[in-house]
Amino acid sequence: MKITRRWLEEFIDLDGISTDKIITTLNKIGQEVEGYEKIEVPENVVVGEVIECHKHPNADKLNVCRVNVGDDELQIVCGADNVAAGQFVPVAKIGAELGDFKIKKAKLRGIESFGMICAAREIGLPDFHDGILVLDNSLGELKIGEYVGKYLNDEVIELGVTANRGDCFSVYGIARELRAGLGRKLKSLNFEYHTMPEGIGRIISVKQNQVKHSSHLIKAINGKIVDKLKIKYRLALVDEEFKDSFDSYIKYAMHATGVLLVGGNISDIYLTNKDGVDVFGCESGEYLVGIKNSLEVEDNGRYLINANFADADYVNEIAFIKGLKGDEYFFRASRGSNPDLRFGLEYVLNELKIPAYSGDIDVSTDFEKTILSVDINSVTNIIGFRINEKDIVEILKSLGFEILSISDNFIKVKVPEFRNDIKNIQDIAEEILRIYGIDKIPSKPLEFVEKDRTNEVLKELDFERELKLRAVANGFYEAIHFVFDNKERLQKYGFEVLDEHLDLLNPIAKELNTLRSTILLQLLDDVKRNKANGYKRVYLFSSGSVYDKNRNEKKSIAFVVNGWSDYENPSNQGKPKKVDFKFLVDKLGAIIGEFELRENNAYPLAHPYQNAKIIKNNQEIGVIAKLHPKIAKDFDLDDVYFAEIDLEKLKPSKKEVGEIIKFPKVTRDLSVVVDKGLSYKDVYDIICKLEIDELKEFYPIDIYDLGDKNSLTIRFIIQANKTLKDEEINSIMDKILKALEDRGIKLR
Amino acid sequence: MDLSEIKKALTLDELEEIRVKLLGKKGIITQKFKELKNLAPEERKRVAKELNELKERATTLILQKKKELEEKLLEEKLKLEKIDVTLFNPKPTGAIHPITDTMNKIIDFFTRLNFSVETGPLVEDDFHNFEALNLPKYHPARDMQDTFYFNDGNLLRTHTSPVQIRTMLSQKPPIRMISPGAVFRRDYDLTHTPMFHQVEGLVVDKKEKVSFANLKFILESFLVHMFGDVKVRFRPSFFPFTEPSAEVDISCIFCKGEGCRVCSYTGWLEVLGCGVVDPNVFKAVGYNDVSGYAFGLGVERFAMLLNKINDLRIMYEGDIRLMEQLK
Repeated sequence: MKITRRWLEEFIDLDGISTDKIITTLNKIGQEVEGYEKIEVPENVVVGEVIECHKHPNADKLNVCRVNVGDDELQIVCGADNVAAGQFVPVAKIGAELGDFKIKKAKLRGIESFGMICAAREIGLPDFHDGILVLDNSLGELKIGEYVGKYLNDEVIELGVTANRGDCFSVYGIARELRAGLGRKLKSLNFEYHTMPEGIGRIISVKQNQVKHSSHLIKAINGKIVDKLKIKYRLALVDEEFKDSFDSYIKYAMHATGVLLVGGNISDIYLTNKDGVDVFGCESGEYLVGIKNSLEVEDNGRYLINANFADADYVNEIAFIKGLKGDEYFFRASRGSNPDLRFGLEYVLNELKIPAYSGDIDVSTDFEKTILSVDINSVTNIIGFRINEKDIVEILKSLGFEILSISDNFIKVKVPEFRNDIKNIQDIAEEILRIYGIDKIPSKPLEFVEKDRTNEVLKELDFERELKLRAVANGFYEAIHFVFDNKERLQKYGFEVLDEHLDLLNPIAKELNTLRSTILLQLLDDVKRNKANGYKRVYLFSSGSVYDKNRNEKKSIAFVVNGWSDYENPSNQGKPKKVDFKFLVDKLGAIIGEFELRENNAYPLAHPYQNAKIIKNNQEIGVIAKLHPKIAKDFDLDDVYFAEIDLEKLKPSKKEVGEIIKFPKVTRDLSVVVDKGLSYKDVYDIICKLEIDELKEFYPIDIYDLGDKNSLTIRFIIQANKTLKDEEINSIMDKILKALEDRGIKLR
Repeated sequence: MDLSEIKKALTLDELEEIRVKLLGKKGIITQKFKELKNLAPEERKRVAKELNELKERATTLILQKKKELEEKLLEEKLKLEKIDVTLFNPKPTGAIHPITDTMNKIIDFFTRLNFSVETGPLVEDDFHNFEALNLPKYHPARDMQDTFYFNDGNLLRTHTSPVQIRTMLSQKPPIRMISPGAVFRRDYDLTHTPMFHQVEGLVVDKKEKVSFANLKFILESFLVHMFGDVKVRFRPSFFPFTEPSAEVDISCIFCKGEGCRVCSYTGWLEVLGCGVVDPNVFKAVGYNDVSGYAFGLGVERFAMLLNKINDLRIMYEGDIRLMEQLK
């Protein structure tokens, strides 16, 4: 919400107070200043009176004017079609600088011009009219030759008024805040307008009178509306829009006073409650009180103005229940508009200066008044600091609270009617705190009873942090993604998607129209992007929530590698090897610890023959595979290897250190001939079944093609709690060999 | 006798030759010992003494020289193994994302001050995300446009505050917790992403125990911990779930409060929202006779300020150009 300093000064005395001070004060008391703009007309732009104006002899669109600028009479060629004799206009004299444009003596189609008649935007003001700017006395008695800035210079302050402070959506509301913040007095305003002897009752009849949640005060006027520069200029400064001249006055008064005002033409009216909604209606339409105004106003010189108020709670609730979409009236009413109807009505009549019929139509509803008993001890406990009674009383008074009684630490107050946000002691504490000044409250550490607060969540977080640090130490960069993905894309690549009835109702974009069931697609996007940025080695990981079709949340961690397995350096002559399956397996082992791989069948994205389940602590925790070359092509990528792991199944395993065996380890290698279709896992299982205690470890160290079969070399590490004799070792090896031979696996 | 030859030896082989020549079986000194028997007893004693001294001197000199030559040989060998160490500066490998890094720093501060860490689901219901936080269905502060809804009426949490409600419902006061995590708003432009991260804090204790002054203390300490030597300013504000409420600013870390583009020439940067818990929130979870404070902050905001990142969206693109700077 924007206000201007000069407008503000209509309501409060700000003499001797700098705008800086005003801004600081507003921030301090909780009216956040979001913007500030100084509106300043350039020097040498003065008030001129157009004495004569006739067409340029050699140009259809130009006028030649004689303009009185006080100390001189200037001949000025003007291109605007609204220029006319008798107007007061801003004249940029020779030497004036309008932005980068310097006014010089000029010759236009053979006629000399000694200055420029300006439009508002040419002299640094908002662009709010056509042609040249025509001045009037609404911003002060015009004096020919006077610097135009004297009338039009102003300062615009933009405020981020919070949703609970409907009373601050007006210039007057902010003036009221500054009264408390600066300790300045509000000006008493004198409203003047002519009243005709004829009463309003003779020209308007009220058909029904049944509103339940709103108050109305209606006046009728008769006369011609005259445009006023002040009104249109200020509305432009504060970004308020209006339909026509009459509407400009209505919007101006609303912005000034915060009172809801609607206009209409003089006709019979009705005030009723339709299906729970208060309605004000006349010939030209209806106004759903505090929600939506669809009254049309005809420019016929016979107007009525309805100042009204509806309880904010009612407005919010009824609009929600009825599903009514409100307009600017709703915006104001739902946050709490100004209930001082006479103030708003007389403010606009005073500006219009059109004769009013005597009397008014007054339909009031009684709204509950809030009386609160302020316990100073409670206030002290909430704030954590004792503010003395005298200061509290002064603060509450300056905010418009009526002090009903004071006794023994209790202050009984009547909350001002415009403060619908104040309902309890904590609200009062906030008022006292913000006006007293938070910076004057000493900070105080809280004393508390210590307690073990290291819970499961913290342990999981710590574990995740450790995993991430290991990934980083292994060369991976962490990526973070939205939990959204594109449903069609997930489906295309064979991933699970949310059931329709559980899916997003209002996604922000098509690419983000569902919750993801995998992190992999987003990581592939990242690989593609980084590759495009020239990175030849892209190792990324990412963790976060993924969802199954029933929208169950699960935490997942995924890894991708692409490009080189090392950086270019003299040891690899600038040609590092490309990453491969083993590369990612080793990295993963270093990050999540020991695991076992088993052949996997189909998996989305995976190369059908380089695709494995990851088994840890006897359960399947994830998958590791090469990206299917067809899919790699979709992402403009070559060889990519990926892994995705269920974080919840990757709980930290308890590690225990046993006694160290001090006897020597013996190494034996065995080369056997195996069928090509046989996986190492089969050989592994045969040996494991033997349950040989002394066999500490065994692993494949070589495999090569013998034509129709493969040769597999396995290394065995044997150790016992004594020094093993050769016979004992041989007997172990024989046992292994026999078991293999029983399954048709022969020694090479 | 002249032993200066020893010193002149250039290689271990030469030295060995000299040793054999002097002390070998047929060496000069050995020979002289053999000749001793031909001398008269008196003379023999004298010459024997001289010979012994000579032998000892020769042996010492040879050993010394041997050591010297061995050192030299090793030095030559090592010299051949010389590498250009300046070739081997390591390349950046891996980094934690600035959001995670910042989140960790925030979590660490509070856990060290005996806060627990609590988490909750991202898909929430109306009660936990709005209703219980003093945001009834028709409240003007509840901007429907901002919330992601699901077809079944659930929603993506718009803040981490529902975790406050969940924690209060499942535990008993005193509560001292923070809740880090992802939150969602329907907004996507230069300064907004539909998902971002928050850390929420809540302290609840007996009635009349927890005050605004306590909140001020912890947040001042926290902000100085995060940003170093900054001024902290509290501005009264409004949140439905706290009363009194405040927004917290730090003096601009870029211009030291002088005014610059980042702080919109105000000298201040808004970093936090906080307040004393509104009685309606306690009512919603059935707590009586308690007092408390709550605060919440945007992790991206902190990460951007701490790392001088000015594009929010780049943080969600796994961009190595961003992260390799954090190596």
